[in-house]
Amino acid sequence: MTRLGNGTVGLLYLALGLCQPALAWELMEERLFFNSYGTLGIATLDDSEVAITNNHEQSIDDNPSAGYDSRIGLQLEYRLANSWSLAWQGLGFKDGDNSYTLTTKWAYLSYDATPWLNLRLGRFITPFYMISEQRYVGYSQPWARPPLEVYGDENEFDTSEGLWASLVLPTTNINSTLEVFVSRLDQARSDFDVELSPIVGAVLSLSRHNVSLRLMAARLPIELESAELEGLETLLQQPNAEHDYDLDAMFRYYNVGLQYSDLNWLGMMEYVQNRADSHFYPEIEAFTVTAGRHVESVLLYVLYAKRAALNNDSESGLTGAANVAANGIIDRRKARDQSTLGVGVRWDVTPGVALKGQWDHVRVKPGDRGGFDRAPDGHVNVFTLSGDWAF
Amino acid sequence: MKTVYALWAVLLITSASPAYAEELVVVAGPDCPVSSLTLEELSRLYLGQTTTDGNGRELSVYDLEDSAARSEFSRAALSMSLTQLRAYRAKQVFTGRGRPPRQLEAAELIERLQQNDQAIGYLPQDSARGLKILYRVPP
Repeated sequence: MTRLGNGTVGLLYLALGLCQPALAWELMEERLFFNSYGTLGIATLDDSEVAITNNHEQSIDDNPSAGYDSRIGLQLEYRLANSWSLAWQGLGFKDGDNSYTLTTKWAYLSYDATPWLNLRLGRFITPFYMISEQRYVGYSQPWARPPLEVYGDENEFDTSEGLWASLVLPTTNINSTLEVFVSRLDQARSDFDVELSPIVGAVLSLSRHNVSLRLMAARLPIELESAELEGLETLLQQPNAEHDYDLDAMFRYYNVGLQYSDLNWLGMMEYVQNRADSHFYPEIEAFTVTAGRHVESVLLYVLYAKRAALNNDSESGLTGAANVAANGIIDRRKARDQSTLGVGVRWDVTPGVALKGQWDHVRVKPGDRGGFDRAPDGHVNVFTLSGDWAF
Repeated sequence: MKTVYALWAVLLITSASPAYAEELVVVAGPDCPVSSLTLEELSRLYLGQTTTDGNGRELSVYDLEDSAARSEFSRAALSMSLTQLRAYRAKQVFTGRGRPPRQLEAAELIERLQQNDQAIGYLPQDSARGLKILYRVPP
């Protein structure tokens, strides 16, 4: 399908959505619900030498295109009984020149054990970040493009399968919820197999009036199998190496999110720190701050985000090819550092439909490539227009 | 170009929240065991953060179909515009954290409240005769 074709399909879908004023279709009254969300997003940047690419062969370059940001989500929820329900959510997106994919992001059995305890068993988006779970539901977010420094790494590895429990804590004056998840991710790719198991994490959410605070901590043991990388691992595992370069390692993710929202103002902040006990993997620190002002149905916002690798100590214990390989790994992750200053506008045209525009000014250090496919000349401007809807 | 400006103006006007003149009250049927709710309890119930009042009694909340009344309730009780609330509820729905309250016409809501002692909703004060008032929404 051509780019024009993509746009036409998206507009048809949007038009269909505009006909639906309610937030759901009840296929069976109070039992079977269908919901949908989507984004028709067009993006471009002002540097013809670089591009932002994702794992689905879509890119943002100096030709405006809709492939990178556009997507459709479909959700079915069936209430089996008062306390039991089944839910499935699929995400459709373009993953090649002429191909599209529908992947299952959520599929779980839910049980309300009590009014204050909900249990889920199945697949879910692992809730590492404040917006992880609604990352693809553009309508639920202020931005046309969530800050890439914090959320840019979300991809097909963002789901896991296991048990998730949400407990409303008996606090007064403050709403507090504790979520605990134990899950696993196992993916076989053409060039490597990755297993993260067991992923164990906890999220504490506190809110009072217009302010909400979210704290998250998780541990993720990783086992990576790849003929090519195992050869590299063997090369780097020498007694005189300054660091460990195990492919099998432990990640620890920490996250703090803060949000303020009232009729006039919006404030959002998120700080992320991802640690690893192997020097083979990057340790990352990233944060983003957004401030917005509501004027009737329009939201004007500014954002700043920054990402930096933490484990940048060079390798001096290894010699020869091993030294070159180890320092190459370290240099490549340092080169991903970048920051973004952005401004944007969201206009809620009608209930369930928002139009957005955003200008991101992305800066990288000279010679670094940041989130681009190659090193730009200092900075790149990214322009995004999107229509988001949810029904 | 004038056409574009005119279209923009019309869309801005039509997407603005309509004003609502009548006082709203949060009500339940006469057999409802709850006698009053705080603003905090009301907010938690309508934002899907709980399904019980402060004493652990289960309640089902309902919205009015009338968008002007819904907008006024959302602004005064939840500190959100209707569009902010819609975005919030989209997040709730697509992360499995709850469904938005069912929207009913005022007459349907009154009937529901009289049949179900766990149901609560909001109405213009003039329409709330014979119902138990749990909270008066400040103008």
